[in-house]
Amino acid sequence: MKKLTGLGNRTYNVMFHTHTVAGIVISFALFVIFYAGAFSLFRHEMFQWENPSARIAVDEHMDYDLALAKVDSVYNLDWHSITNVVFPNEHYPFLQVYGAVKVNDTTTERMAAYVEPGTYRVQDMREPLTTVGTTLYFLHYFRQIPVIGLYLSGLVGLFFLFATVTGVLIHWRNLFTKFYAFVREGKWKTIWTNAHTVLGIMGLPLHLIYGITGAFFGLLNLILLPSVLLLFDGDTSKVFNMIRPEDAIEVAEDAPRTQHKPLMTYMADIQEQFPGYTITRLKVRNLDRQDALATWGIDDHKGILSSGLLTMHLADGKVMEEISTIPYEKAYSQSIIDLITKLHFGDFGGILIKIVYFVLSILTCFMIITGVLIWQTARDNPRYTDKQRQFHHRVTKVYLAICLSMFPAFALIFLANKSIPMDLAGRVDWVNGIFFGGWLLLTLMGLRWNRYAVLNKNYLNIGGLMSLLVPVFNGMATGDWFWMTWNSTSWVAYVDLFWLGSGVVALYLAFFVLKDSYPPKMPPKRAQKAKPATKSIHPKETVVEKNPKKVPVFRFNFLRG
Amino acid sequence: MPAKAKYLSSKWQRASKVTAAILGSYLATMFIHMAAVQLADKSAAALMTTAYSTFLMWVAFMTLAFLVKKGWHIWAIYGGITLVCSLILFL
Repeated sequence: MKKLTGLGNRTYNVMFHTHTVAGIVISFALFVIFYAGAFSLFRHEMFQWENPSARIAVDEHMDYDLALAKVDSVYNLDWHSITNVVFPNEHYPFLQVYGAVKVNDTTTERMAAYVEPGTYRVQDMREPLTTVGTTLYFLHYFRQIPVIGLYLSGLVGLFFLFATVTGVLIHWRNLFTKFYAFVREGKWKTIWTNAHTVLGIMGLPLHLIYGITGAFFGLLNLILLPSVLLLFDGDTSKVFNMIRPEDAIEVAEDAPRTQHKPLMTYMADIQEQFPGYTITRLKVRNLDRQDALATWGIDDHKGILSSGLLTMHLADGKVMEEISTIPYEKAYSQSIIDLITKLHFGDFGGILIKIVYFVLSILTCFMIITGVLIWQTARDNPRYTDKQRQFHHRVTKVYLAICLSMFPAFALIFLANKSIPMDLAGRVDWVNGIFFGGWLLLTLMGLRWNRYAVLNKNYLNIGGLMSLLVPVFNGMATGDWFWMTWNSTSWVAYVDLFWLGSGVVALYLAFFVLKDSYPPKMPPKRAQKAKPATKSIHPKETVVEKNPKKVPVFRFNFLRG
Repeated sequence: MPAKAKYLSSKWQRASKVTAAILGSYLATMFIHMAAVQLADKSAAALMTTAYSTFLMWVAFMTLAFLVKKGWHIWAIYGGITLVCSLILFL
């Protein structure tokens, strides 16, 4: 097969080394991001599973004006600030309201609540009833780490892009040959290397997308701050008004009050103009006044430029063409952020794209693991001292324990969601506690299993059993067994079946496919501690060793490769 | 398989390269972009492009930083880029 011209010797070695170092440094954080991210793709779809009160059909006749009035009566909303409304959809049948509340004359506070159809009961979302999707989504960008979590995840994204670029450079020469290297035979190092390069090349488009968009979401402030300071006189609103021109339109705080037509009439007009589109959300200011300004979000969820924003004054209900974005007719500057968002969240082309994203993300997790295993196997030979080899082994074991225990830990949060009673105060903290505590415990358990194959199998066994229990717990706690929800609230059944399937596959792999014998030869045992010198019978006499053995100094030189 | 040590740099060289790769690349990237946005009359299209082009350029500079043999050379290059672009920006 044709080989491409590769890099020169020095360049190759330098690139190889930076790839190794960058890869090892980010590896387990990147694994967590991809694994949690793969599940987060479906965080809306799994909402009905996690919250049984959401297992209702969308109420087509819900009175949105009444719902907003209810929220206003609970929170006393500051309508002059931006209020965002997300309309009910099949996965989330509640009306969500994100608004501002005046604390005093100068400061406002953000609020979030949802309204149930039918009863119009208002539920504060800052104190949610359930959490599974949210916890996994927050884990995806380390939001549980205060302040710096988001930046850390952004940096991991940036270094992932770096590792992708250097990875392509060093494997450039074998780009075509490696693409067909689905090999399961040969030395273990070869197997890991082939898996790493094949999956790296196969996932390349996804990796580039996620390197760039992930860095964008995490490090947006790093990019914006210098521009705002030096180009826009430190005024952030100038930049944001460029991105969202409707926010630049002033609405008067003391405009005369008025009662506009019901929101449903405007929505019916838009539906008529854009048949086939769903109205997903509404951004509104001064809703209760004459100059009320509304921006409607529409989307057909098909193409990658399918979202649109239609801005109008409610007084005349005419779409203001010059600042609205029409789906598929967007200008270049209007498309970029929408494009980045759609690409990152897999929010185009329907459920099939999300499944492809999910599979590729899990394969990327495997690619990350194989990278660590290449690093370990390449160093497991007599050219390294026993101490060094022990160190490589322990690092690998810790990495594998953190990463592979995520499978049982994720099944655990689904179980915790169904085993903590719904009316228990602070149940969300309990669920999170069980998840993170369980993950820690599982990781610590893994450190006791010295062989990687045993560690992997044990996690598959534990996780497989837990997975099988997920649909059972759901059925027992809510009475909604998957054969009953299949037709009514399908996604509840799909979540159950996903776990049932993954449980069966995990146990099958653990019992019938995988063997216990990896690594084939264990790295040498840690050197025994020197025996203490026998006590002298004369206590004052000090024992002097004639030839003190040189104690090998343990150096963290894994960065040297 | 691990990279051959003879091609890798010493401790101080490495430190200066790593800082140049992360910080120096960031400064050079940002100033090139800000100068470009300034020259493009702060147009929305130019500003929006920075949302993705910054990361691509940052990573490209990051990669290049390790290929230059001397650490101070790369700092000189990225410092020079930053200086020239800030001249465009402020004059």
